[in-house]
Amino acid sequence: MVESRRDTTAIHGGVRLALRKQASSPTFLLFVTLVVLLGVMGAAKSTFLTTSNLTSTAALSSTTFIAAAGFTIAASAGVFDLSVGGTMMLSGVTFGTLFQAGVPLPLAAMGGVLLGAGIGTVNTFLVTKLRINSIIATLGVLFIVRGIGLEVGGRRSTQVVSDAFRFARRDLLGLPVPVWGSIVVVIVTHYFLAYTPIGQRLRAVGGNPDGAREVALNVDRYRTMALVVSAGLAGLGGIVLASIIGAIDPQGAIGREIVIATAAFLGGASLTGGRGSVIGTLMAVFLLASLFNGLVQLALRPEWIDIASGTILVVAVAINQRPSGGFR
Amino acid sequence: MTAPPAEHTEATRTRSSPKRAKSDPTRRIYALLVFIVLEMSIFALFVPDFWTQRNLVSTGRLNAVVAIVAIGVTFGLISGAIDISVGAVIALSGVVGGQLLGHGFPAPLAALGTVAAGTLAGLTNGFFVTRFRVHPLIVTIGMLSVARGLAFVLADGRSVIISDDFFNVFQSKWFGVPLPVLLAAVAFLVGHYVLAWTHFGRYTYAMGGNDVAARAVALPVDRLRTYYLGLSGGLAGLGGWVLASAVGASVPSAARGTELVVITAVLLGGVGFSGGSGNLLGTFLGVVLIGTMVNGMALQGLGPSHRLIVLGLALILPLALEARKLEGFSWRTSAT
Amino acid sequence: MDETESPPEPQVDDLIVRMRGITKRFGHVEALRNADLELRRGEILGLVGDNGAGKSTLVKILAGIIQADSGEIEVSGNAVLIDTAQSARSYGIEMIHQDLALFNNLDVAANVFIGREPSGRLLGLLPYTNRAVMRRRTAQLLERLSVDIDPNASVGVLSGGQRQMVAIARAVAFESDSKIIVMDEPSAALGPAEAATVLELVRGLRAHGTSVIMISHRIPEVLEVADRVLILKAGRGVAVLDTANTTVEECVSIIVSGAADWASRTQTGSSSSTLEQTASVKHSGRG
Repeated sequence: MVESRRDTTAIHGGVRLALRKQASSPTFLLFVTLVVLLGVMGAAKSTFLTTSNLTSTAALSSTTFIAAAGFTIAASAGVFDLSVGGTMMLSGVTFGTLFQAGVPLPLAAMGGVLLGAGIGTVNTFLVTKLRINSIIATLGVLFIVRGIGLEVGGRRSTQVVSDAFRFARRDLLGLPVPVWGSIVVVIVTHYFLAYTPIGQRLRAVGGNPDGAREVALNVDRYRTMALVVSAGLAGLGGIVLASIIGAIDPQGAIGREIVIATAAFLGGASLTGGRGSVIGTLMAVFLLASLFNGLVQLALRPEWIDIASGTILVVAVAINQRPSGGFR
Repeated sequence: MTAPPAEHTEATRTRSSPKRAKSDPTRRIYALLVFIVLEMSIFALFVPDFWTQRNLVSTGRLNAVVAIVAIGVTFGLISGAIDISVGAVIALSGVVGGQLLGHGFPAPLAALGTVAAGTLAGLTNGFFVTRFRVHPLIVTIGMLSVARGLAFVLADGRSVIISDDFFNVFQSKWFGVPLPVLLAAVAFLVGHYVLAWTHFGRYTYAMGGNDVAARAVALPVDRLRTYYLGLSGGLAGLGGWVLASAVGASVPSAARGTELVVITAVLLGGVGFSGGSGNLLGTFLGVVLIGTMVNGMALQGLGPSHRLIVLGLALILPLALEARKLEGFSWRTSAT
Repeated sequence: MDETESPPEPQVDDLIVRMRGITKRFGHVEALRNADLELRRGEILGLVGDNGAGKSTLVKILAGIIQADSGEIEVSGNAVLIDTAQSARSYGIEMIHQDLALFNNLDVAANVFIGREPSGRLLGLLPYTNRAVMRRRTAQLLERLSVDIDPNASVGVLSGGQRQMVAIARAVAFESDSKIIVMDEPSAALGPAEAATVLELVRGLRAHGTSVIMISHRIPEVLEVADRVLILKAGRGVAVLDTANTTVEECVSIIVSGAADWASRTQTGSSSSTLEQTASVKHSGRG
């Protein structure tokens, strides 16, 4: 039948089109930037491009990425969850506290993730029921969560002496456990966003909430999904972080939401909603982490690192968002 | 068979998504006034040392910087450009002033230098927003890091004691009122006049309310936005001078986290997050409410953790309470 | 040519949609007061009126976006309850909104199939969007509409007319199911050439057996393309005219004056009796 021939051509056409699209997409640009950066840094400092350095950078930044993946999903739905840093901290603290109280590891971990989802539910209430702007609502929740963490846990972090707890410090088949976590998360979230009907509708809600209502999409339901997933993944990231540090840290992940948001925007998310690429975010996280790592290795003083990271953030976003036009 | 009685669905708003009716700023101001009176009464009655001249003077002095900076941020936010870099700009300006003094420049010039440094930072923000079309939130987050880093670089990581009498003028009192408070009061009066009575000020509302329309009527939106961000930076610079002056030292790590307090106060005062509404009276009340709240809590021995919680509530509660005031609004989610 | 005698009742199975006594208020505003609408099978019904007359509200009630406070709806003679857009679709009603409800961040195919994406399950478990099918069917649709748009193009870069086409494609994508299409100001934002294409398309829909309700403020276009036109004023119908028997001036004057006495004339002498008033009908002797 002619149909099948058309199908094959369609598939070939689709692939070729996809490749062409990639070449001009922000994600690709980001990838190129990453490769160039790694090359430059490797040339500048020989210890940079070693396997051990790269894998340890990857492991540390995995916790950021896991949370950032959630942020990206929410951003695609037009919702911005600035509470992720706080959620990471609180989930990690819950995880550690439960474990120390004798709860078996998997259950303690689940408890941490559930706490994350719980914070997500609070965010959902504020955004969908009280109709508060998501940035303000989650910022408020961030403050409150940080305040609670500080109040309950003080400034001291408590070591959790247990090999089981520090599972994230181990390697599995040559890769650190957190990196495996990232791999799983990126596959699942990217598939969800790009290849499932729900993911597509989520992006529609982010791109045009009014239009979404007109085509009978339940905007609130998708926003709820977005916020709960974002907080849940932040919780997961927080658990892995707690495991790596091996401690209950009420001051954990301070300021992390800025890095997460930066990575998401670099990866293609936009404040106008509807856009976001988990793969882009992954590369951005790694880019930022490598950048930071490289600058540290170059023995740059922290103030220069601050200057560099601030400048790079703005410049990178400026370049990256060319296709979509940006802020007017 | 008749259709069942109407169930209000969210999609009933045929025009567009259920937008918050631009919250009546007057309502917000009344609410703030009520809260301030309530709060101060409670503190005066139950918190020892609150209602003393010493405490009020000290609080006033502390919050004057926040107040001055909030004026600039208000202009920016109403026009649709959030400026979250102010804390770092305060510190940077203070450092610039201290360095100028240290290198032998006369004090008035050093003072001017602080304001200039802040303005330059603000204009840089404006440049990136208008030329490269990067969202102000992102630009100013970047500036937050850059300015902080620059402050440390210029100060070589060290705080510098300032002993110049002119520069440290903000340690004095005029007519019994600490000078920073007087300056803040003057700044608010001038700011209010500019915002409400001049073209420059009123254009913020036009731009914040409907950017496309503003451009369509040939408002120089980009130039104006740059100026507003410049103003925001300039007032942060002024705040930097006041702070360094009052403390008697230029400290590169000064004002950390101040931007969050400022933004909270401005939002609390009724300026919407996407701009187009609000006024300086609201901002002023927002600063007073948060300032006295923090002060009262500190006197009661409540620490930074409680401060954070209060800040978070200050952001959320006003909006939560106002949510119920939308008319004809229903909590039902849209069709299906 | 006075028609003072009451014309015979129309054949009920002529009507594919019948809305009777629709009332809707928004707060203090009464958007619709006992409004009626009748759509005959296979016709194009123009819906005109001044701003605030209630046109959009009426069709949104039909499309399930809004619920009426009171009134009845019948589709193909059967009383129906349309409480959601989904249920409207189940009765074969599709709506193209004034703002088109398109998503700039998605491609054309995604826009056409939004909410009804053809999907399958990988390994019987994981849902996935069948993009190949979407792309192919979109291409077929666009071809049928004689439009040249790449299904993979991002909707954000399309022109006004192209966007309108995509919205129409979405409405006819499930044509076997949809028998009634409602269009809210389809040519409002278009230039003459694009508007002409859209009108041609609307005619094409009728040729396919679809019944169309078209809201428009462009009376000449309505008279050109529609079979009949319903004029609303202040929330109720004030006239139903045969487009062959009326002029732009007459329509406009009715829109403006909201003539208290109704004019209801059709070519064959049968009229929708529900829109008839018993008082004598005056008209200015145009045949």
